[in-house]
Amino acid sequence: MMTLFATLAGLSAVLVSAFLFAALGRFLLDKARFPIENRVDRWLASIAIGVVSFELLVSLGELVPDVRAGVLCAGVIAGALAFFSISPLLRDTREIIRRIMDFTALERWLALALGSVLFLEGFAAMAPLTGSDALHYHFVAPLLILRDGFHPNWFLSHSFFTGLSHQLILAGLAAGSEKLALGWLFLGGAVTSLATAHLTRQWASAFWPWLAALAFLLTPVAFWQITTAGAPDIWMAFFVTMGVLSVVRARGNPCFSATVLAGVMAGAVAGAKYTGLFLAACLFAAFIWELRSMHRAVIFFASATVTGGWPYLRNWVWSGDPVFPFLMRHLEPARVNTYALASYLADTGASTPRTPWQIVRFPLFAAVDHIHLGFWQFLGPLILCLAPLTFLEVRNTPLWRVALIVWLGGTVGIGLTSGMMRFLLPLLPIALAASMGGVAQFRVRPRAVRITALLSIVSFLFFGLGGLALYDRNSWAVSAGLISREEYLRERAPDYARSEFVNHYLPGNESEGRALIFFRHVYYLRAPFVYGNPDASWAMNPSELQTDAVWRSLFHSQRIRWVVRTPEYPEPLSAELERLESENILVPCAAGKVEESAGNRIGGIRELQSITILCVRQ
Amino acid sequence: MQRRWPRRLQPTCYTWRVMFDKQNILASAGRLLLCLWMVATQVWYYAQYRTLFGAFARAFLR
Repeated sequence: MMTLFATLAGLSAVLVSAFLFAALGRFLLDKARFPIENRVDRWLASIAIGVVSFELLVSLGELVPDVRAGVLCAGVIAGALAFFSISPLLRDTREIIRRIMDFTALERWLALALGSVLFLEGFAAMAPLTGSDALHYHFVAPLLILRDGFHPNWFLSHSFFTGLSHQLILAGLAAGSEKLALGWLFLGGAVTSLATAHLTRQWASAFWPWLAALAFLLTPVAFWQITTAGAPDIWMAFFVTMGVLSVVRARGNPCFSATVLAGVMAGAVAGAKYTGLFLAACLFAAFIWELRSMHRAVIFFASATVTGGWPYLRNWVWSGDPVFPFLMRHLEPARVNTYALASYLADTGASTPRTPWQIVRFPLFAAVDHIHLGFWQFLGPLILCLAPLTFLEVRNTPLWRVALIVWLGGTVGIGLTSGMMRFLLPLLPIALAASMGGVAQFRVRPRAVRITALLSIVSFLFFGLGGLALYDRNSWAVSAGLISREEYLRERAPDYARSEFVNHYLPGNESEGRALIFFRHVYYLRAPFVYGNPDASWAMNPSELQTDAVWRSLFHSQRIRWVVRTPEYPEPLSAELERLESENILVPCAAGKVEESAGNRIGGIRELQSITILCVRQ
Repeated sequence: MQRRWPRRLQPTCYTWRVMFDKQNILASAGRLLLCLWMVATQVWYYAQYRTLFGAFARAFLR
């Protein structure tokens, strides 16, 4: 019962904070004297500006010596500013709800369906963290900043990948609530679905916007990101969609604030993730194409740089490479770890050559990655299947031009540089909105084409709903208190049993030394640790770690007192570490067996694996 | 200020839609092709993920 109460309290906190974010944005929009006539437009722009401002405030807060106090102080400032505009925001909200109640019965039912799916996804998002990348770095890097302060972590080098949206996780963890951090990621998905509906409404009225929003929420990649992934990438989808609307608005509005708003949206996308740079560049290209004004292009670029430049500036100061590690070979060749770099290039798909035929599939969301087949790559067949109808509806309007530049430019850019299908998620709302617009406008008689399209959309929604139920049933169970947190984590969170074993044997006190860990998912470790798998640890260079003296120096400088073997060492270091064992520099202190998943979690195969903690003899 | 779209860049795809809006055999064939495209692409797409669906089904039945 307490768990259910905590889940509902977490969801309520997310709802309240959503209003505070929007009120903060509304306060800034009013101060900038930027009137937006349409209420929904104004509400969405407010929350977008509010979230970006909060992220920037948190970025300032993390620079103070006591990071937690700095971040909480940023939160208090944001809350205080939001307080001034809460009343006009509530007025707008009331009016929007009143308008929805005036819709037709079908639209009201679809709005209710959207609300229900949002509730189900929010409920799942309140489950403890189990996403693989989140357990490796999305949540770990902010957690380590809170524990150890704001400085580069060369051992967990994925921490250089954290962007502006990770500040939401940092703020949630600083407030002592993993649920709040997860809830703010869910909020990104929720507002993206509303932005998708709003964008669709520019092309089609009636029930089509609701169908587009539902299709977005029920696309497996989207609901995976919204509920269990623990990755903040979903916010990019919101900012890109708002960026398209902002560029179109700036075209019809000559005021300075309209250009700044469009630039801030592009900056928020660029600051979220490296691939966001392509999307921001596409927004910039669309802006230049539509406005053709050097003066306004400079304002746009400056706003985007000030907003999204922070993670790149940080990486440049720390490593000399703003997009660490991808330019290290050129900017800091002396500091390159070739082994880790090769691993990063392979992991992000950046080193895989692609044929023109493969690239062409990206704008249609039709590339299927057979090597990484999973729901986290499943963007659905709707864009491909509705493509001819979308194509036939393209018109020479500012919205179509901006949407097409961003959609086609962004997808081809991501296809060329990364090849990871899930990186297309930020462009899914635009593609879905355009596709729905295409079907809605295809009023050719007889209606066979439109009926087939509608059936395709509805069948995809049912497919997505089934997938959501299958994928999130365990998350709902733990959020409702039907299964315990420990039971859920042992079954769902990779390396949780290993973390428990290490936490049991090693002290949680930093002053007593740290453990060198090779398993990937380290979020649940309470014992101080250094991540050491050379695949993702820039500091662990196999070509340098070749002698006893180098290892002893590493153990001494990093205060490493234990090495954890699970069950084998990483291949490039195994010969060296086994030699240290044979020389009694590493001596077993504790050993046992833990049950972990073998292969993908979906396979459900679990096996006992040995784990050994070795003490370092200096 | 509204700017004129260069004539050579004017997209013509919207005007192509008229082809499908006629009551002749060519338009009927076009509409049939569109329906077939929609069905075929969905079958193709879902078929790509058949092994994943199998894994989910097994996990559900376990």
